[in-house]
Amino acid sequence: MKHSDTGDTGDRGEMTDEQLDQLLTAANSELLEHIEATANPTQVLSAITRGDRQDHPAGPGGPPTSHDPGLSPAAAMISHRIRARSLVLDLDLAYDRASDLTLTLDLDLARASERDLARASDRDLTLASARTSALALTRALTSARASARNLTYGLLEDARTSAHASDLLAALGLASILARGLNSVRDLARDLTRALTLDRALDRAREIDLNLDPGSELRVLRARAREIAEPLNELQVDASDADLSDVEIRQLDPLDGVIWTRGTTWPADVAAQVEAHSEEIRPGVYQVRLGNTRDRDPLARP
Amino acid sequence: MTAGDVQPDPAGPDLSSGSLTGPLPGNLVQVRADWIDFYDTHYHRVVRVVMLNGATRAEAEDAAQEAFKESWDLLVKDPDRWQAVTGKAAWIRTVALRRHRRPPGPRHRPLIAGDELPDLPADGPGHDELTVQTQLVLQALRALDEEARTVIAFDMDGIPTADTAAALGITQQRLRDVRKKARTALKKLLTETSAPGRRQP
Repeated sequence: MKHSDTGDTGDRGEMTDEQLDQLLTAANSELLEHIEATANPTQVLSAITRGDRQDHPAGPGGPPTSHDPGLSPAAAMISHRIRARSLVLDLDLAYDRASDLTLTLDLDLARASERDLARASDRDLTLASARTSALALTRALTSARASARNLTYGLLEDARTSAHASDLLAALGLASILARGLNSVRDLARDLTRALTLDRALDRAREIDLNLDPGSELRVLRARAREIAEPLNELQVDASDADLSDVEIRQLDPLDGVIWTRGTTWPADVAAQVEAHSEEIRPGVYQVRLGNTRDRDPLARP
Repeated sequence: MTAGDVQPDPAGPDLSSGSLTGPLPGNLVQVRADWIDFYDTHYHRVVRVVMLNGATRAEAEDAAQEAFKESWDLLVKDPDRWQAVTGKAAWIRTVALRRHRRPPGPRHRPLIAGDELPDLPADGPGHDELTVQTQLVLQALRALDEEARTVIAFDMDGIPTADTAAALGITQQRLRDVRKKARTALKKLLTETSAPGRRQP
């Protein structure tokens, strides 16, 4: 904050504009930290949007079960699984990008330093490589953030009326925290990208490498994404006679354990694969069992 | 924002129109997702702005919750009007401040049903865990008049001058005058209280 329009009066022993700005900035930061450490915005968010549902006129047979009246509980649950999986995969990608960047900073710049950056072309190459990695990281984080947002929104829509409300609310809380964490990591990545455009990028990059490590924060966020995804995958989904034709299913993985019947409508492009990977558990009732088949794309990754 | 722009009145938009029912088109899903982003980005900061304007923590949270509830209601009932709001950051802060200063109906209606009693209001922010310097800043801000306090708080939050002026319904020149006077007063107050050996609260 800089609004130095009052005149500098430091020579009369009064505070200067700069000193005032420093005081205000420090107080502002401390207050925000204090609020962030003690507030529970997720609970407030849930309460605010819950009011929206309470305002909805109830249709025949009771209150609406979803903002999308065509979405069955099974379809909603499979959608949560798909979104959670997407978040996990996005974070894996972001982590890989962060690792690439760290490698660039650690190795390339260190090597360049040993050569004292004798050749401008070496320096430019190194900077270009670091910038590319930083931009790729930012893009991956943006995608992960969008996935987290989609998951949060989907859970929010479904949490109150689902039979698994408490599980979904728990996932919602985690997803919301994760989304905020992603905001801060993405800001770091952006800072990094900007810093790498400076002329004295080597010194700055070293400083960044020492002080900002998107990878370490990402490790925490990756673990959190799995904490969200795994319980969702363990909840039983009964899709008997459900219409799942509008659910976008690209991998079978989110369907593991789903119970279905001949009355279930699958998207045409996965119906045969689902049948091939299912077992009849009761007459006319089937369960998707992927086991360790090649179609399964386990979340657990080293 | 120009004088010709139609903005919902931060003090209380007319929410009588608009449909609540039916499936959400894809763009509305996006609008709602964007609102969640907006909420995530601004919730804590709105609480802070209200505290900088003299509210206790509990009062500030109540005001922020009511402001975000109002924005959510607006979005649900009339998404076009919500999207048409320019300077949303200034808008939500202005709504929160008005809720704090002129609360509608029973004060501090808890938004979250339940299990917790709200904190009892204290004379000031009442955060012993804040540093003395921060408490001095909060105390100095409370000595300013309402308009000056709002301008400084919005400045501290990085709200653009034009958005602040529009949200407060004053000209940018008027805002600059208020800011200048407020900063002079703050420097005087803080010099008196925060310099070594000077009076402490």
